[in-house]
Amino acid sequence: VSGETIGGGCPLQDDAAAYVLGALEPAEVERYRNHLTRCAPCRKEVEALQPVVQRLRSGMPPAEPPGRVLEQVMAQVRAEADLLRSAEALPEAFGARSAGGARRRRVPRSFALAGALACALGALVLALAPGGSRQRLLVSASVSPALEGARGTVVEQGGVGRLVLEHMPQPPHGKIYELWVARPGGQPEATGTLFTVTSGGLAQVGLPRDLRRIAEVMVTAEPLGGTSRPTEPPLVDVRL
Amino acid sequence: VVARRQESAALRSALALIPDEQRKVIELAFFGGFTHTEIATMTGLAVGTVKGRMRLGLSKLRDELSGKVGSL
Repeated sequence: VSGETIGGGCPLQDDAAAYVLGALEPAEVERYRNHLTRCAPCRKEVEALQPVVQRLRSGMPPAEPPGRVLEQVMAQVRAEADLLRSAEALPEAFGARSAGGARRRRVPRSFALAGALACALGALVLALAPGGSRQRLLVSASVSPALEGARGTVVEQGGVGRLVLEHMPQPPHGKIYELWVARPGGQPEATGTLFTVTSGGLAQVGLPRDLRRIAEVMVTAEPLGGTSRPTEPPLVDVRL
Repeated sequence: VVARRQESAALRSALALIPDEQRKVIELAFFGGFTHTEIATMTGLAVGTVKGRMRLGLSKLRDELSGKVGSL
């Protein structure tokens, strides 16, 4: 039977796949290992799925060098920002009737941005972890009190860094988050990365490849389309 | 080198045959290193749904691989 699974009856049966993929939360791993010593169905499920992941691990090198994919992701985000700028400049174009007579539905900006972010994220994760390597926390960010409860961290995985933001509010109306970096003793430089956050307040943003040359990573809220210089103090500030 | 390429191609083909929503959570976990909770947050799915899709996807992947290429 296609897709047949083994660990029937146990409420933790679905944890087997997450376990072999390394996707359980750290606190859950030990608990699940203990469970496996007592639960034969789950043990069988793990034994059945483990070889699949081992085979993936040994046979799936990244299709392209991570840096190349990362550049493509950032280009995709920039292209989406350009598209949004065009939409702002020509608002009627989106509402005009097409040749077929049907009125086009204007894509909400938030949806377009979310789509761009989702696409970027999808490609980015492929770039970040060749061989299934785990991420490593580098440093936590200072976050403006205005972003109550928000948290930022810079993590490194497979030689590529990213800024992970949690519990972030949506950018203010008419604004978008922009990522900046500064070299030691230097001024903030635009990275061209514009982003928003998920409904759950999460964002993951790729950083320039050579983190050793970067002293500081910042995030500000800027007008849609971004700016070449920050117009306000950083909301998120990470000193590397 | 040829064998490795064939194996890689077989894995990609097998991955392409499982449903998109199952493949997505597997890729996020395997390639991205994200936990099921992070994936649930990113995708807006319930944690149980994410774990269920991982399990179904890996099971189907196992079937595809064992039925077509090599053995597990």
